[in-house]
Amino acid sequence: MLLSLLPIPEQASTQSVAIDTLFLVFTALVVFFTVLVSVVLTIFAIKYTRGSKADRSNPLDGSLKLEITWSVIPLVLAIGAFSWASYVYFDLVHPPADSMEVTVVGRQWMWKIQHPTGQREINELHVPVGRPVKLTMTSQDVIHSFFIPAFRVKQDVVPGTYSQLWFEATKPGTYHLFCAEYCGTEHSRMIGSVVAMEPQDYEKWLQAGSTNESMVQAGERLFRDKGCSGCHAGNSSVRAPLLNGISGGPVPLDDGTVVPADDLYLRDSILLPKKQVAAGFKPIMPTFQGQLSEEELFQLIAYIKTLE
Amino acid sequence: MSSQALDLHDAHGHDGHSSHAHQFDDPVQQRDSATLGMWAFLATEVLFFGALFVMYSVFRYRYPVMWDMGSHMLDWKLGCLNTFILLFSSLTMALAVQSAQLGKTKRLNVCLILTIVLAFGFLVVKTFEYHHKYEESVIPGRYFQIPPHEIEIYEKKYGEVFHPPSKMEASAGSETVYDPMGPYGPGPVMHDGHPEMTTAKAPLEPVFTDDYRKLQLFFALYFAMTGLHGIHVIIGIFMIGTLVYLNQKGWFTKEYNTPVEMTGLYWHFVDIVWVFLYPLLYLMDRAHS
Amino acid sequence: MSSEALTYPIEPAKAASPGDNYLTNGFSLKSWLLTHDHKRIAILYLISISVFFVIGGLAASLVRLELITPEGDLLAHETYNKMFTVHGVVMVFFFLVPSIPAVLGNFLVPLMIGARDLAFPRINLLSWYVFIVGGLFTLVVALTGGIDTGWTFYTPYSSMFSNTYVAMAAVGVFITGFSSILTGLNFIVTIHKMRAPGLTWFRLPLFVWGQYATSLIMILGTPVLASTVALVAVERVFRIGVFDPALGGDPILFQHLFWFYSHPAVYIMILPAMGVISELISAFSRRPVFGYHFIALSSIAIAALSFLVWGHHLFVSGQSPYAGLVFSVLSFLVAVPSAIKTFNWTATLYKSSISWDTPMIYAMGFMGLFLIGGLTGLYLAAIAIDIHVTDTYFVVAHFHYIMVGGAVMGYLGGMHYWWPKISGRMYPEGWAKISAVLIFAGFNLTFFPQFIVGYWGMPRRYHTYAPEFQVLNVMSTAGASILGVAYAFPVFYFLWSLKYGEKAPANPWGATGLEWQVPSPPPTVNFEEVPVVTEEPYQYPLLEPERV
Repeated sequence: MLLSLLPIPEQASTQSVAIDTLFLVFTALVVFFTVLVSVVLTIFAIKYTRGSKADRSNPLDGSLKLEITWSVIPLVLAIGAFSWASYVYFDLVHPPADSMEVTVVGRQWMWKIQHPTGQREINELHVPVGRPVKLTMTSQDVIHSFFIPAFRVKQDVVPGTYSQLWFEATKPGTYHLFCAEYCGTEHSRMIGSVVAMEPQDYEKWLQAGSTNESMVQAGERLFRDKGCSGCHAGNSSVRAPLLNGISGGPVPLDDGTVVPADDLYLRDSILLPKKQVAAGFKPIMPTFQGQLSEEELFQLIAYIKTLE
Repeated sequence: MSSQALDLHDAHGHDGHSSHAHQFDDPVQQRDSATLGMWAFLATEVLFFGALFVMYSVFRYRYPVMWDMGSHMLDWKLGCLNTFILLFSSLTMALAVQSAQLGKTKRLNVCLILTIVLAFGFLVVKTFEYHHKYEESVIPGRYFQIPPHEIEIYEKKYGEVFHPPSKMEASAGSETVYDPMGPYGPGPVMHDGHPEMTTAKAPLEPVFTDDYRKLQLFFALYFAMTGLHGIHVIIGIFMIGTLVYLNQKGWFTKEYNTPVEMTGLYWHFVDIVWVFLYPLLYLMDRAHS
Repeated sequence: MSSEALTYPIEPAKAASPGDNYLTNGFSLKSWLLTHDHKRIAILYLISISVFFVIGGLAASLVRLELITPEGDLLAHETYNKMFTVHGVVMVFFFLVPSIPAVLGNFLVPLMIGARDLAFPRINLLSWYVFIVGGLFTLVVALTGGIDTGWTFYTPYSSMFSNTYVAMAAVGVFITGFSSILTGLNFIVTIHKMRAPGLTWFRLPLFVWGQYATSLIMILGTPVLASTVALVAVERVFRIGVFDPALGGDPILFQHLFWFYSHPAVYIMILPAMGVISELISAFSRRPVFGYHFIALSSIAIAALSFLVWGHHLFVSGQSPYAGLVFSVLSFLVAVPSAIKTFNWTATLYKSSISWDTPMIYAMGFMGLFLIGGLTGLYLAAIAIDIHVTDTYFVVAHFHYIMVGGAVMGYLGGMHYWWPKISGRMYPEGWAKISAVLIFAGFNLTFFPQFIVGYWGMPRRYHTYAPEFQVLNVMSTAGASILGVAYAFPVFYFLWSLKYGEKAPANPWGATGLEWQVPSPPPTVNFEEVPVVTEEPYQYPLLEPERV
C-alpha cells in the first residue's frame, strides 16, 4: 500500500478519504513551493557567494511582471484550494436524513452517551459500519471537543447549546476518542474509544445490553411525569400548542419570524419558553430549568420528535 | 495620558527657553506629533470601549425583553441631566482651548475650573444613581436582587411571569459526586477505566439561563460601561486639574498650549462615549413602551 | 567582515570622544531606570524579555520532558497544565510580542529615520514600567500557585471552573497590554512625524515599515484583548456571567473577542521579523531589496487582513458554517502577501554578492522555517482539514514554525546584525555560526515531528497520550534539548563579547541605513546634525564582475 508509506493515520470513515486526499494534494503543493524556493535559494546562494565568478551584470531591482506573476499564481491557487476544501466541508456539515441519532453529554472528564434504544455508555461509543451516525452533543460544564481522529471529525461540545457531528464508519475496529478542547485538570484522561461494528454485531451488542426503556419511552415517561402532557395533550383545557408533527417543521413565532423546530429549538422551548413563543399563544409556560438533566432533555426531545 | 502632556512639557524642563522638547525640530513638529498621538490613542480607546459595545449588542439582540426591563430600571431623567452636564462641560472645555490659543490665561483658568466642576457634577449624579442601585441591591454578583415593584411592572406590561433565579447558584462549582450508576440505574455497557472520575465539579442540572440572570447581564454591562466611562471622567479631572496648576504657573501662551488642546480632545471623546452610552442604556427600548 | 565592506563609501562617523555614547552617559542605576533615551529603554527591555524567555523556556523544558513517556510520570496533571500555561502566557505576552518591537524597534526606529529619540520618550519609559508591573503580576501567579487555563483563557473554564489564579494572571496580561499600546502609539507618531528631511515613506527601511504595520495592530487589537480579559477577571470575582452560559452569557463570544486580538498578535510577532529579514538579506547580498514597494505594502496588507481572519480559530466551535467560509477564504488570502515577500527576498539574491555572516544564516533559516510555517497555515485555513487538525499538535507545530521559526529567528538574526551597533563590540563569529546552525537543526527536530503526530490525531495540551505517539514525542524532546542548549549560546557569547569582543566600527557590515552612519555605540543624541536623505534605501554600489 502506497498510503501506508505516508504518515496518514487509519482511514475508517467515508469522510476520511476525502479529507486525506485534500490533505495530500495540499501537501504536494506545499512540498512543491518549499522545494521550488529552496532550490532557487540554494542555487543563488552558491552561485552568488561573495568572491564567486558569476555574471553580475545587468542586475534587476524589481519587475512588475514578476510581481504580478507571483501574486496572481498564489491567489488563483488559494481560491482553488479554498473552493475544493469548502466543497468537502459542505459534506461534513450536512448529516444525511436517515442518520442514526446518538446523544452525547460531555462533562469533566467523561463522555456520557445514549443510544436511541436506550443503551448508555461512558467513554465508549459503539456504532454500526455503513450507516451514518449523527451525534447531538452538549456539555454540562465547560467546553469540550469530540474528536475521532480515524474518522477525521471533530466538534466542540459547548454548554448551553447543541452541536452536531456526523460520520459513517467504513471499517470495523476500535478507534481513539479524544477530548480535543482543553477542559481542565484531567483533560488528557477524557478519552475513550469508538467501536465500529458490523451491523449484525451491533444489533447483537444492543441486545446484550439490558435496558429498561428506549430514549423515546423514557421521554414519554418524562412527558407525563413532568406534567408536559397536562397542557400539550389534545384534551387539555390549557391553550398550549400541540406538539404533534412539530419536529423539523417550520414554527411561526409571535414576532412574525419562522424558525425550524430543530433539537435546539425544542431544548430552548423547554428551558427558555419565553425565548421563542409560537404565534397565537401566550407565553405562559413555566420554565423547566433545574428540573431536567441534559440526558432527560435529550430523551424528552427524542419523544417529542416521534409525535405524529 | 497626563504623561503624554509631560513629554511635551520637556520644553520647559530643559534650558528653560527652548520652545520644544529636545527630540523635536521645532514647536510645529511637536504639536503635530502630540495631535497625532492623541488621535491614535483615541483610536485605541474606541476599540477598548468597542469590545464592551459588541457584548452589549450581542446580548441585547439575544435578550431584548430583559434589556427593555433593564432600561426601565434606570432613571432616564438623571441620565438626561448628566448628558446635559457633560455636553456643557464640552463647551467649557472648547472655550478653554480657545482661550489658550488666544493667550487669555485668565479666561482659560475659569473655563478649566468650570469644566472640573461640571465633571464633578456628573460624578455626583452618577454616584446617586449607583447608590440607588446599591440600596436596591441591583448589583451583579452574589447579592443581586430585583426589587419586587420592578417585577410587578414587568409582569403587568408583558403579561408574563418573571423567572426567578434557578438553583444553579447552589450547585454550580460545588462538589458533587458522580454516580456511575446514575439516577437511572446502571447502563448496559460501561467502560472500565474511570475510577478516578467519580468526583467532579459540575452542576447536574442542564445549562440554561433565566430572566434573573439575563437582567443581571444587563446590569453587569451597565456597570462595566458606565464604570469604565466614569474612570475616564476621573482621569479627565486629574488632567484638567494639572492644566489649572500649570496655567497658574504660567506655562501656557498663545504659542504653547498643546496640552490644553490634547486634554480637550480627550475630554470631547469622554463626552462622545457618554452620548452613545446614554441612549443605549437608558433610552433604547423606551420607544415601544 | 569582508574587505569589500570597508570600501563602501559612507560618511565617516564623526570622531566623537571615545567615552561619549549612550552606554557611558551615566553609570548609576538611576541613570538607567529613569532614562528617557530610547536606546537605554531598549536595553531595559532586552534584559527583561531575556529573563522572561528563560522562564518560559524552563516551563517548556518541563513540558517536553514529561512528554517523553505516554504516562504522566514526571509531573502531576495540575503541574503539567500549569507549565504549558506559564510557557504560553510568558512566551506570547512577555517575550514574543515585545521582542522585536520593544528591543530592536525601540533602539533602531529613531536611528533609522534620523530622529533624536521617539516622539514621547517618557511614555516610552512608562511603557517599560507598565510591562514590568504586568510581568510581576504574572510572575507572582507563576510562583505562588500558577494558572492552568492555557494562554487562551477559554471560558467558562477560566471564568468559573479553574481553581487557579486566573484573575491575577488576567490582570497581568491586561496591564502588559497597555505597554504594547504605548509602544505602538510612540512608533506610529515617530514614523509619521519625525522622519529626517528627504526620508519619504518609500525611502524608509523595510524594518520601519514592518514596525509601522505592527504598531497599527498593537493600538487597534490590544485594547479589545484588554477589555476581554478584564471581564474574565471581573467575572471570576463577581460571577456576572458574560461568558458563562449557565449565567446567560456566551463562551463563544469570548473566543471571538480573544482571537480578534490574538490572531493579529501573531502578526505582531512576524511582521517585525519580516522587516529584519529584509534588512539582513539586502545587507549581506549587497543588493537593494527586490520589489521594495511590494514588500512594504504587503506588510500593511497583512496587518489589514489580520483583523479579518480571527474566525478561523472557531471552525469547530459551532459558529455558522457561512461565517466559517468567509473566514476561510480571507485566511487563504493571507497567503498572497506572504508569498510576495518570500519571492521578493529570493529574487533579491539574484546577481548578488552574498557573504555568509551569522545574520545571513539566520535570514536563510528564517526563509526555510517561514516557508513551512506559512504554507502549513493553508491547511488550517481550509475548514475541512482544519476540523481534523485543529487543537492537535499539527497546530502546535504550525504556530511554532511561525512564532519561533519565524519571529525568534528574525529576532536573533537582528540581534546579531545590530549587536555591534548596540554594544559597540563584535560577537564571536564562529560560536555564533555554530549556534545558528544548531538552532535551525534543533528547531526542525523539535517541531517537524509534531506535524505528523498532530495529523495522527494527538490533541494538544495532553499530559498523557496514546503509546503510538511516543516515538515522535521522543524525537521532539530530543530536538528541544538541542534547541535549549543552542539558545543558551548567544546569551553567553553576547555577554562575553561585552568585555572581550573586538571593538566594532561604526559600520562593520558596510550596510546602508542611517543607523550605520553614527558611531557604535551611538551617542546619546543619536545625530549631532540632522541627516538629510537624498536617495532610495539599500543603494549598494553596482557589483561589477571585475570588482568581485
